[in-house]
Amino acid sequence: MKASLSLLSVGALLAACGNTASNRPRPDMGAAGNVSVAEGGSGSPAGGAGNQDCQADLPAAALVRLSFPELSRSVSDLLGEDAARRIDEELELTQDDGSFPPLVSPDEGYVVDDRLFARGDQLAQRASTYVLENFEAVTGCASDYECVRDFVDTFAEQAFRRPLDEEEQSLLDRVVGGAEALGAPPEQGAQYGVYAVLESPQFLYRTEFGPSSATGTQGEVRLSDYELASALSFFLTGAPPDAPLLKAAAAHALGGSEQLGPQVERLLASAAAKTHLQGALGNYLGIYRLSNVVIDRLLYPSWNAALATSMGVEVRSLIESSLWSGPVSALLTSRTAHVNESLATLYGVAFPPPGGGLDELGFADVQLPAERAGLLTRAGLLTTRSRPDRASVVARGLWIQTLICDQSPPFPEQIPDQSSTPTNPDPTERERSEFRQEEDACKDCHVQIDPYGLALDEFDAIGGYRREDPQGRPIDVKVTLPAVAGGAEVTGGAELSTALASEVFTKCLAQRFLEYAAPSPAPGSGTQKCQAQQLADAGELTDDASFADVLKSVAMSRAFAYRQR
Amino acid sequence: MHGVTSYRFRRRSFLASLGGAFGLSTLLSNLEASAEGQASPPRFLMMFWPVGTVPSAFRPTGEGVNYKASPILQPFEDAGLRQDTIVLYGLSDKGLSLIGGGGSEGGVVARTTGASSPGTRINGGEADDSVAGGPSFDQIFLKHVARLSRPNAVPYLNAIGDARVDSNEISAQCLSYSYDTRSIAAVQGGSITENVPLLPEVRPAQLYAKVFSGFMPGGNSDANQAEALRALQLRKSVLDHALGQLAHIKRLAPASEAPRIDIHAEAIRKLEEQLSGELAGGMPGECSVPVAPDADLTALAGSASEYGTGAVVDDESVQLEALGKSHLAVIRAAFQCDLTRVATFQWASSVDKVAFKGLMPEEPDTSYRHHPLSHRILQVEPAPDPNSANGKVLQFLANVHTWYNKKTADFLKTLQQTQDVFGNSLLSHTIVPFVTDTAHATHSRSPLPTLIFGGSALGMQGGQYLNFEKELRPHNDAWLSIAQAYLPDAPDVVAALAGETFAKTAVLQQPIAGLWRRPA
Repeated sequence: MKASLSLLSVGALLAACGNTASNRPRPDMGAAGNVSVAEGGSGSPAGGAGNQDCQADLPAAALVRLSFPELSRSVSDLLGEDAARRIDEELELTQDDGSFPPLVSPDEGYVVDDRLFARGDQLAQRASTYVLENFEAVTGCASDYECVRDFVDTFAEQAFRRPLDEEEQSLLDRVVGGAEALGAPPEQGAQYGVYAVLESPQFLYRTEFGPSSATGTQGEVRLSDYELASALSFFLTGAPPDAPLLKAAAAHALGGSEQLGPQVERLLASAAAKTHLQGALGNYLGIYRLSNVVIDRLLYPSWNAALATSMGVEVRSLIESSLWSGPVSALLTSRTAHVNESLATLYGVAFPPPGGGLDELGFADVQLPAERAGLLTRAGLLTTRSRPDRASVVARGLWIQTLICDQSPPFPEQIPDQSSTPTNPDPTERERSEFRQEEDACKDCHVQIDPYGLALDEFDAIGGYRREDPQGRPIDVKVTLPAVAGGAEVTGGAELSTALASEVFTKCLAQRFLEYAAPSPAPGSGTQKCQAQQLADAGELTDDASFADVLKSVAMSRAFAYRQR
Repeated sequence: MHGVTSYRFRRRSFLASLGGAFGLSTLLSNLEASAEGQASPPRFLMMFWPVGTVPSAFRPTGEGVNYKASPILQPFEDAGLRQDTIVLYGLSDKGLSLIGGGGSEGGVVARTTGASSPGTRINGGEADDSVAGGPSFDQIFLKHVARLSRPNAVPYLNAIGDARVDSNEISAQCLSYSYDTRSIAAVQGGSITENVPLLPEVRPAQLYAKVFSGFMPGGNSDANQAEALRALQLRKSVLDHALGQLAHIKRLAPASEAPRIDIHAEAIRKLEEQLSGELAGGMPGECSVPVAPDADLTALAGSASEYGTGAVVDDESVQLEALGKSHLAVIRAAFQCDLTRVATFQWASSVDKVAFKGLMPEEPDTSYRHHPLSHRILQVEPAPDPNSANGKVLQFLANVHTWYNKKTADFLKTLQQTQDVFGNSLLSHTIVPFVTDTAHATHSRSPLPTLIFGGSALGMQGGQYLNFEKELRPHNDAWLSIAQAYLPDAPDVVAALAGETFAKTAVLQQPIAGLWRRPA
């Protein structure tokens, strides 16, 4: 559709037709968290999936490709931090790509095609070159093929995160034996042995096939002990299983909840898990977008890179301080903020606070005004859902939808010409929304999307509080929430946050982390939604559940440990 | 990668990027010339520029062979390429549907596959990322034209000069799509089948490594030769091992995982076959190995929702030019040495983020980003007053298009002047379609401009301009016209390609008369 519809103001048109197939306004559509909005049951309430089907509705047995950051951490475990750091630097493996789940970005992907293979090949080459260059230190061998063979075998067990079977062993022996037969020195034998291990699918993927006895069968299988150890570890720490977990797998001691529970708690208590999961949640929320967001400085003179960085620090601090104590829904209600002077000015709070308490970066904890509560009202996240010149009702609405796992109906195949247009050449955001909610092509989605964005419209493009729009017209932030969000009448962002700080949010978080735990190329079937509902039905996802409770529920759920073959 | 604001020049040895630590040395010089005979093979290079054109500044005056080039097309005249240039205007996506696709995103897959897109992928970002509904024409020609494949060579090369997109889109940064398909989750709900994207290389050094991995510096002594051969054998054993392990996993995996495993195996097999070819001495003979590109030169990539339309500080066109030159030099060398015969090169993603300095009228010291600025334009014709704000933006867009044409003309000139190993001009045996995603700044996909360069020895009839604005002829007709040159012995090129997805659109497709004549 052409965008030359001169009767309507540009802004109104773009907002009205945010879903048109051509010339759509990008910033309104880019909610980073909408990664999984397309699972089945269009428009159905979050958690509305029928429970009866859940018993049979398990994720499919699959080969799960490890992301490059996961491979990098694996190399770190195998060869040490120095090797991993050097390789990361050369190949840019651990740059935070912001994707959630981890394989959805263009740099990753579920399928090892030419490009991903080439990247993995480079990683394997560099790691094996490191072994050549540091032969004695890494292998503990003198120039001796017997020792090299033992080293490569042990290295392969570590890299594959389990013992090798006979065929795997035999294939690997051929590489090292071949090097010897070609007259290569033992150092080169070790190099190519390591190269072969790191080029192997057993290193590049983890399997979710179930035990070998399940091969060729159909039906429900529980992951093998080693598979479960890997799945748990990559989920909770982003790294391969540690020695205690592998030991438990070897002893078949990951069976019931009484065995699994302590392992999950042990991992969750680790610093690695905290760093990893905070990062994952940050990606889910789209904090990374702050580094790219464009704001018109003529309209917002206080905007600059330093302010963007400060906003990122503040949101990450909120996550860190709220995540590991108290209910996870506190993320939506906390009014404590870790801010510096520029953020304090934006928020309209005194700085430094009485009593000081500035950290080395010049940040201190303050209490935010009553119009703010939790993540949804923090400047950083509001800014990433804005257009360069104004706040975006649609982008913010879409974002909230993803946070409660609601889903709009599918895009219409064709957007009709907008023959009826509002006569007001400069409508308010509420008038624009009313227009969208009246148009046949737009209304099915926008009645579900816009109320959230309208409630947040009291915050400008960079999250500053306002009572009037740029034209000086009062902003009306009273809305009736869609039924999926409880259907209450709320006024403004703080009340919206409070209304959403419930089981709806917690259950959606569980669903997202179920998706995160088992990244799969299989199109969304509602499996994770269904499983999250089961957890909620079992009383594990109440509104006072902590983040650790949610993760533990996910890690010990049936959807985590069982697959359909 | 986020937050990248300038091209990176990082400390990294080029040898490492080639696996140089493996001790490969020059193999090529002693190997026999290709046994394929002395006739130059046909070649194909699809090129892409983003954001269409400014019609009033693009359309030539006159028609046929007597046309007068417009300012935007003048660089090809200046480079002496008129007789190697076909100018087409007024093409369209008639008959194609691109469900949910953005103008720029859907435009790329429509242009290069000629097929409808079944929907958009969930990519963690925006919802308008069209999937390919069929293979792209580089792959189609590879399949149907035996002489576009060379045994033991790299089947095709894909490269890009600037890969930044809005928010994780693949379609905006990928011209080439495989025959392999896979099922993925769709924004529209449920699953759709897409043809697998064959993403471009962002680093010229990596592109170089792909082609010239056997051309290592280090002398040509017997010792080096022996070590190089052993390194090749060892590397091949690693690949054989990976294939063996993959087959082992496939036996254990549920059948549903077989297609993914096969794609992985195919990627290994391609490299393995290339190494086998090198070990068997199957590389061609005399040709000059180009200087390796700067190892640290890499295209900007990642997501950046930069839709601010104001001025920005950097002039990124200098770096883009360096990237383009470097990528295209590798492609030219690969053609010259007959190490590949098919390639695609995309100057920038279809949501071009590159900032160009001095191209806005009356603002010589200011830079503006290309595609974001196009969003200011809601109407291109009738052309607005050149002194109005919209008029100036349109002139900026025309200047950027001219910039892309100038750099492309510079490259084509070198292609014209370079002889292949058989002693013929590269350009005369290479057809270079130069395509874009959208017609113009409003993101409409008609009337499209398209240029076709080269291929005179294959029968392409350069030196003419055809305008199809009234009928909005399907763009696939341009592809069919090119297909004639590659399938000269087919009694009916439409019938020869009738099984392809693009041929199944509702609109009748025929080659454009007069663009090709059977070579004498």
